[in-house]
Amino acid sequence: MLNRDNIGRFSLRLIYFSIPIVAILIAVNVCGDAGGLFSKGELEKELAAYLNDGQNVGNIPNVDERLLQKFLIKDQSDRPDVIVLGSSRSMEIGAQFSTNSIFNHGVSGCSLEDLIAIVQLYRNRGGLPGKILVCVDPWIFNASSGQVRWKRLRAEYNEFFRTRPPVRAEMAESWVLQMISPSYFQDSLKLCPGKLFGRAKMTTFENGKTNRLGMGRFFDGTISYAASFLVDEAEVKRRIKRYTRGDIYSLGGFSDLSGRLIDDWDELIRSVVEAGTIVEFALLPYPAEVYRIMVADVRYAGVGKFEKFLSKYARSNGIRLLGSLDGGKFDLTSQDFYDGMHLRRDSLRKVLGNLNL
Amino acid sequence: MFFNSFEFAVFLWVVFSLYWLSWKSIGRQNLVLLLSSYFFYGWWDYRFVGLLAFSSCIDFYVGKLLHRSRSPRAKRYLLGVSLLTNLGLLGVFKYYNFFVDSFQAAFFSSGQTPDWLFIDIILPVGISFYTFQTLSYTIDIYRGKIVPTNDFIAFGAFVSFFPQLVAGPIERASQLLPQFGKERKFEFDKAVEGGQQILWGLFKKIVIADNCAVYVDQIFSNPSGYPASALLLGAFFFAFQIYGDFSGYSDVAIGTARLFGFELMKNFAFPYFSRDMAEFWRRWHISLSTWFRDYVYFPLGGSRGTMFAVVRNVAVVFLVSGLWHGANWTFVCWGILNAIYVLPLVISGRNRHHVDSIPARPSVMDLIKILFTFSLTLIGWIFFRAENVGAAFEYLSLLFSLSIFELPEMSGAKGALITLCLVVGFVAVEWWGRLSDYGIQRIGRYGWKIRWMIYYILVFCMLIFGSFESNPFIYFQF
Repeated sequence: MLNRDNIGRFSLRLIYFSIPIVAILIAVNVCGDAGGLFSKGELEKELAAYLNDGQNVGNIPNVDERLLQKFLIKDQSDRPDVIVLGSSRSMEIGAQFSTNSIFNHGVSGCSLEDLIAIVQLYRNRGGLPGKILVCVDPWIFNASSGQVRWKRLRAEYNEFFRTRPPVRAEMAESWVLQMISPSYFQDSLKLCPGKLFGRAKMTTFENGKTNRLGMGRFFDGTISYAASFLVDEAEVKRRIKRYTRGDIYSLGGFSDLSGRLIDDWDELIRSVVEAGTIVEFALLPYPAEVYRIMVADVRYAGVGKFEKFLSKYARSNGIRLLGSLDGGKFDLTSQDFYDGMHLRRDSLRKVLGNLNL
Repeated sequence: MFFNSFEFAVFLWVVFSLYWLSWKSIGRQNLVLLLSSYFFYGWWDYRFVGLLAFSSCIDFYVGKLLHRSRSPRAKRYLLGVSLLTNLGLLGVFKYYNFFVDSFQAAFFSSGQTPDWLFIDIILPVGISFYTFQTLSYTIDIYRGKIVPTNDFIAFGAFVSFFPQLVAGPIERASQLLPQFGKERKFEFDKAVEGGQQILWGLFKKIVIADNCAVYVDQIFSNPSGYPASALLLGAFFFAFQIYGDFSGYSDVAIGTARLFGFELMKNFAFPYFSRDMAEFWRRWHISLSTWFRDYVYFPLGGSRGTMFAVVRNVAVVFLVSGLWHGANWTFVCWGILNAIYVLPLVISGRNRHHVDSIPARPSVMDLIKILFTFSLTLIGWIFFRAENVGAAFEYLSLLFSLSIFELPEMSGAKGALITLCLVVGFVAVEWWGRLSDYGIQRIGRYGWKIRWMIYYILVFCMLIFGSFESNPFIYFQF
C-alpha cells in the first residue's frame, strides 16, 4: 500500500538532508581543488614565470607539477642546453652538475608517460635540448605502478603516439564527477585553509641563501625541501625501516617488466637520439638495506630484471649509464639519504662523480 | 556494485521509485525486486546469473514435488536432489581446487599431479549465501514446517533479494518468503530507521573497516618486520575490520530492506561485548550460526546423547562453519579453535550462562570476561586473516615476545593513531547502543535537530576519514 504523504515526506527530508552535504562537498572541492581541475593554472603560471626569470622560489603551495612543466617549457625565453628528467628522486640534480644552462623537469612519481609527454612539450616548443639526462626509476616499467598523474599531460602523450588510438579521459576524471567526489574532497580539504587564509604565498629568495620558506624550487628547477623534511639521522633510519613495510613505493606487483612499456621506452629514446640529442641515463640508489630487500623479495622480482635490461639497453645503444640502485656500491649510509628512497643533494657527487653535463 | 558506491546509490533510488510506483500490485512489486536483483547480481558478474536462476528453479520445483509427495522415500530422494544441487554447486565452485591441492600435498610430491586436474574456477559472488537460503526452503518443506509457494516470481525474488543476496543475512524461507506474499506498506518511521541503519552500516564500512584494512594489510604481509606491539595492533585492527565490514554490510542490507517494507533478521548483536565464547557465537553472524544449529547441530543430536556425541556435534558444526568461510586450512583451523573454545562450556553446561543482555552497569567481572573473550577471538582472527597456517603460527609466535612493550613502528603511524581513536570512539557508541538492534538506534528518542546533527557528524566523518579506495566487503569472497 502506498501512503503518498509518507513517501513524499521521506523523499523531501532526504533531499533537504543531502543539500548541505552536496553543497559543502562542491565548495571544498572547488576551493581546495587538489588536482587543479577548476583552476586555469594561475599558481603554476606564476611559479613558471619566476623560474623562467632565473629566480629561486620558496613557500610553494601544492602545485600541479605536470601543469608547471607545461608552462615552464611553453614560456621559456631560451631553451636550456641540458635538461634532467625523472622523479622526486632526481629533483636535486641541476646547476651543480653542468657549466651549461640546465633545467630539472622532474615530477613526483615520474612514469614513462611523463617522460614522453615532457619530451613532446619540447618538440611542440620547437625542438629538444642538446642533452637529456634521464634518471630512470625502476617503476617506469611496472604496469602496476599505480602512477596516473601523467594523465594531466595526456594530450602531449597522445601527440607523441600519433598513429595510436588516443588515451581518453576516463569518466572518473571528469570535473563534474570530481566536484562531488569524496576522495577529491579529502585531498582538497587539506588545501582549503591555505587557499582561504592566504598562507600559501610564494616568495623568492636569493642565490646562496638557505630557503627557510617551506617547499621551494631553485632557478634550475631543482627542489629545495621544506625544513620539516630535513630530519636527524635517527629519524632517517626510522624512515628507512618504515619504507620497506608494506609495498615499496610504486613497486607493488612488479614481478616482470611490461612489454608494452619497454616498446614505448625504446620508441622514446630512439626518437630523441634521432633528433640529434645526446641521451644519458642515471640510476639513483636506494639505501643498501632497502635495495637488499628489493632484490630478495619475489614481489619485486622486476627490479633485478629492470637493472639488467637497462644496462644491456644502454650498452647496445651506446648510451652512458651512471650510478646504480644499490646504495652499498657507493658506501652510502643513512646520513646520505632523507628517507628510504631520496638521496641527499650533497651525496649526489658520490654517485655521479665528476659529471659535467 | 558495492553498497558504498555511487552506482548503488543511483540503483537504489531507481528501484525504490519503481517499487513504490508499483504499489497497486504485490506481483508487480515482486517483479520489480526480481528484475532489479538479477540486474544487481549481473552487475557483479553476468556469467553467474544463470547459476542463480538454475538454483532457484531447482528448489522451486523440488519444493512443490516434496509437498505433493506422500512417500517418505520419494521425499528423501527429492531433498537429496536439492542438497546435491546446491551443495554440489558450492563444492565445485568453492572447494574443488582446494581438495585437489590438499590431496596432492598429502599423497604426491610436487609436480606429480597432472595440471589438468586443477580447474580455473571463479567463485560466484554470494554463492555460499543464496545456496544456504534456498536449502532452508526445501529442508523446511521436507520437515513440514512450511508449505511451498506457487508464486515463482515471489520465490525468485526471495532467493535473489538484492539487499542480502551477496553477503547475507541468510534468511529463512519461513521468515522472509511470506513477506513477499503480503501487502507492503510504506511506513515513514520504518523508512527513517532503515535510512539510519544504512548510514551506520556505511560508517562502519567506510570509516572503521577500510581504515583498519590499510594497517592490517601492511602488518600481515610482513609480520617479521614488526615488533609484537604492532602485531597486536594488527590483530586488533583486523578484529574491527572484519566486524565493521561484515556487520556494516548487514546493517546496510537490513536498512535497505526496510525501505521496501521488509524485515530481515538481525545478524550481529554486539559480539565483542560477549562474556564467553558461547555468547559470542550467539551474537556473531547469527544467521549462519543459527542455520548450522538448526540444520546440522540439531539433526546430529545437539547437546543430547553421550559426551562423545556432544563433542562430535560441536566439532562438526565448527568445522563446517570454518570450511564455509573458505577453501583454506586457515579457516579449518579457525573453526577448530572455536570448537576448542566452546566445548568446555557445552560439556560443563555453562554455554547458556549469558543469554541476557549485558546489564546497564556491568560488574568488574563482566568487563574482565568481555576482555578475555575478545582476546580469544583475536587469536582466532589471526588464523582467519593469515595467508596460510604456517603464517598464522609465525604471527602468533612473534606476537608473544618482549617486543610487545616497544612502540609499534609502522608506515603511516599517525594515520594508525587516528584509526585507533576512531575505533575507540566507535566502540563507545556501540557500548552506548548495545541494548538496541544497532549502535545508533537509540537516537530515535531525541528530537530531529539532535538526530540530524548526529547524521551530519557521521556523514562528515565518512567524508573526512573514510577510505574511498575500492575495498570489497570481506564476506563477498565467501
